[in-house]
Amino acid sequence: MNSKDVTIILPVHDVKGNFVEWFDKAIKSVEQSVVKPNKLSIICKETEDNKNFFTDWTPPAGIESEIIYNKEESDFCSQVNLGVDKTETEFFSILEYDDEYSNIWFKQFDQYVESYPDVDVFFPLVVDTDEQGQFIGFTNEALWAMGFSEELGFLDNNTALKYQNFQVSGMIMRKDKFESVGGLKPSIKLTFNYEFLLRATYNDTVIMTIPKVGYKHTNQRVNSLFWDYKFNPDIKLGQEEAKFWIDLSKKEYFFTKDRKLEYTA
Amino acid sequence: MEQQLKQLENGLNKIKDKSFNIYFLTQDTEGRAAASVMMNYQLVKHLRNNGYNASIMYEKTQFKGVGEWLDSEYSDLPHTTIEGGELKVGPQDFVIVPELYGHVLEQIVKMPCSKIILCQSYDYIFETLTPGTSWVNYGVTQAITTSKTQEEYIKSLMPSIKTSIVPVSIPEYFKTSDKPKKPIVAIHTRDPRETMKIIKTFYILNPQFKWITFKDMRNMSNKEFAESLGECCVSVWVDRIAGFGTFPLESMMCETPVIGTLPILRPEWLTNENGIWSFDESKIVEILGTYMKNWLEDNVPEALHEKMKETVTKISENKQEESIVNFFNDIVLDRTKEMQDALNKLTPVGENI
Repeated sequence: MNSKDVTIILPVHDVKGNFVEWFDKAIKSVEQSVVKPNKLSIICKETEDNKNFFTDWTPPAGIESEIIYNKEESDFCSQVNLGVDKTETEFFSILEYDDEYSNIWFKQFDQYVESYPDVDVFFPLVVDTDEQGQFIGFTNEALWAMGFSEELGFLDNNTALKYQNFQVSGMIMRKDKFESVGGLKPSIKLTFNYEFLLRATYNDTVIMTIPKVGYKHTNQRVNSLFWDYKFNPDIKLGQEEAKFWIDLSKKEYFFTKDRKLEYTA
Repeated sequence: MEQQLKQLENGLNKIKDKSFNIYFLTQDTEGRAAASVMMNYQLVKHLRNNGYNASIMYEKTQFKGVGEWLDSEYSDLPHTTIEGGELKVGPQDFVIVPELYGHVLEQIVKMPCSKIILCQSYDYIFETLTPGTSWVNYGVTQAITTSKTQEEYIKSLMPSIKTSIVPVSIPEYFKTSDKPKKPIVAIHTRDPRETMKIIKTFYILNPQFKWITFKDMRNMSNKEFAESLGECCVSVWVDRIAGFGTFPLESMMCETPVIGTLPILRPEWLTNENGIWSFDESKIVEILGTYMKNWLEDNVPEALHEKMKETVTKISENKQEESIVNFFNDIVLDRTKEMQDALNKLTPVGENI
C-alpha cells in the first residue's frame, strides 16, 4: 500500500467570491507533492456557474483528475460521502478548497502505512493559520503528548470523549472503514467531525497522527461556515448551543446511520 | 633463595598460562546505569573470552552490582571484594583502578601486584588524589584511557605513565526502532538540574511544542535505554567535562541526531558535521526548537545522518576486545621476559648452562 492507493476528495459548493484564489493554492499543493496520490476527485454541486468554471479549468499535472457533479445535497458531509462512494482506491483523503497539503504528506503516508499496516486513519499534523497564512497552532498533535491518550500517537474513544479538537480534513482513511462506520452525518451540522471520530473510535477504528506537518488549515476564513458561527450575528453560536452540539455528538455516535434529526430552538 | 626461586617460577608459570588475576575495581552505582561501569564489565568479558582470568572487584562486600540494568552475560561475571579479606594477590596479578579511585591507590599501595589506572574521565583524575601526588607516587606505571585527546592530556600531566587506548564500544542492541521516529526528545545531562532547566525553558520558549515529550535517560536498564533512544527523534546532551561522550555515540548508533554542548576536551570522534554542537549552553533550547520545526517538516539534512553513520562505523566491540586483549598480551610478553631474566639471575650458574 502507498499513495497510489489514495484518492483526494475535494468538495466544492460554490465558485463565487474569492474561491479561485484559495482553490488554486489547494490544487498547487497537490501538484507540488513529492509523492502524488492516485487521483483527485472534485465533488461539485451542479450549478451553471460551477460547470462553467470547471469547463475552462486546467487539471493539475501528474495526477488523474475527475469532476463529479452532485445534484443532491451539497453540504460538506454529503459531498464527502458521495466522494468516498465514488472512490475506487483503498484510501481517500479530504482536501478543503481553502486548505493545502504540505508537499511531504503523501511521502510520509507511504512510510507510515508500511510501518503501521493496521491503522485505518492517518491524521496529519495540521498547521492552523489565519487568512494571511500566519501560524496559529497545531491540531491533532495532542495525541503525541505523553499520557494524553491510552497509547502514544493513537486516538481512542475515551480520549475523544474528553477532547474535541481534532481535524479530519487532510486525514487519509480506509474507504471500507469509513463506509462501515457510516460516513459523515450531515445532521450533526456543527460537530460532524467530532461525532464521526467518536463513532469511528467506538467501532474500533485505529486512528493515529503522523507526527509530521501534513496539512495547512485556514482557520476561520471570512465567510466560511465556522467564521459565521463565530462572528455572524444572525447565526452566531452561544456557549450553550456549542455545548448542545457536543452533547448531541456524544448521544448520536452510537448510531451508525444519520438519523436526519430535526432540531428546533 | 630457594623459596624466592619457587615463587618466581610459580609466577612465571601463571603469567605464561594466563592464570594470573586481573581485577577491575568498579564503582557500585547501586543499581544506576553508568557507561563507565559498563565498560569495566565489557573489558572483563572480553578478557575472559580470550582466556584471561579477569573479574570485577568492588570495595565493599555489600555491593548491588549491575543485575538490574545489565544482562546476565555481564552480571554473572565473577566478582570479588576488597573488604572481607578474601582477596589474595601476588606479584603476577593486576588491579585496574578507575581514575576516580585515587584514594584506593593509597590503600593498595602495599599489595604485591601491578596497578593500572583506567581513566575514562580525565576530569576526575585529581578528584581523590592528595595535592602534590600523582599516580606515579603509588607505583603506577601504566594507564588505559579511551581517547587520543585523553591520552595526550594524561601524558601532559604524567609523562612517565605509559598510556594505551582501549576504545569504548556500544552494544549492537543500540539501533534505530523498526518504526518511524517519534516526537520524543531524549535528554542526558551530567547535572540532573540541567535536564529540568532545559525542559522548562523549552516549553516556555516554544509553547507550540508543549505536546512534545522529553525522556530523561536515567534509571533504566541498558536495553530499555537503547530501545528508548532508538525511538526518539533527537537527543540532547550536556556534559562539559565528558571524557569520551558515550551518550552521543549511543544516540548516533540509534540514528538519533544529537544536539549537544561541546565538551572542554573535545573527543576525536566529534566533528562539526556529525551532530549539532554549541559551545554556548544557553543556545541548546533555541537549537532544539529549530530542530523540532525542521523534523516535523521532514527537513533534517540527510548529510547529518550520513556523518553519524560514518562516525559509528569506527566503533565496535571487536575493536575494543582487540585493544584490551593486545594490551594484556603485550604485558604477558614483557612480564615473561622480566620474570625469566629475574629467574636466570637467581638460578645457580651451573643450572643455566
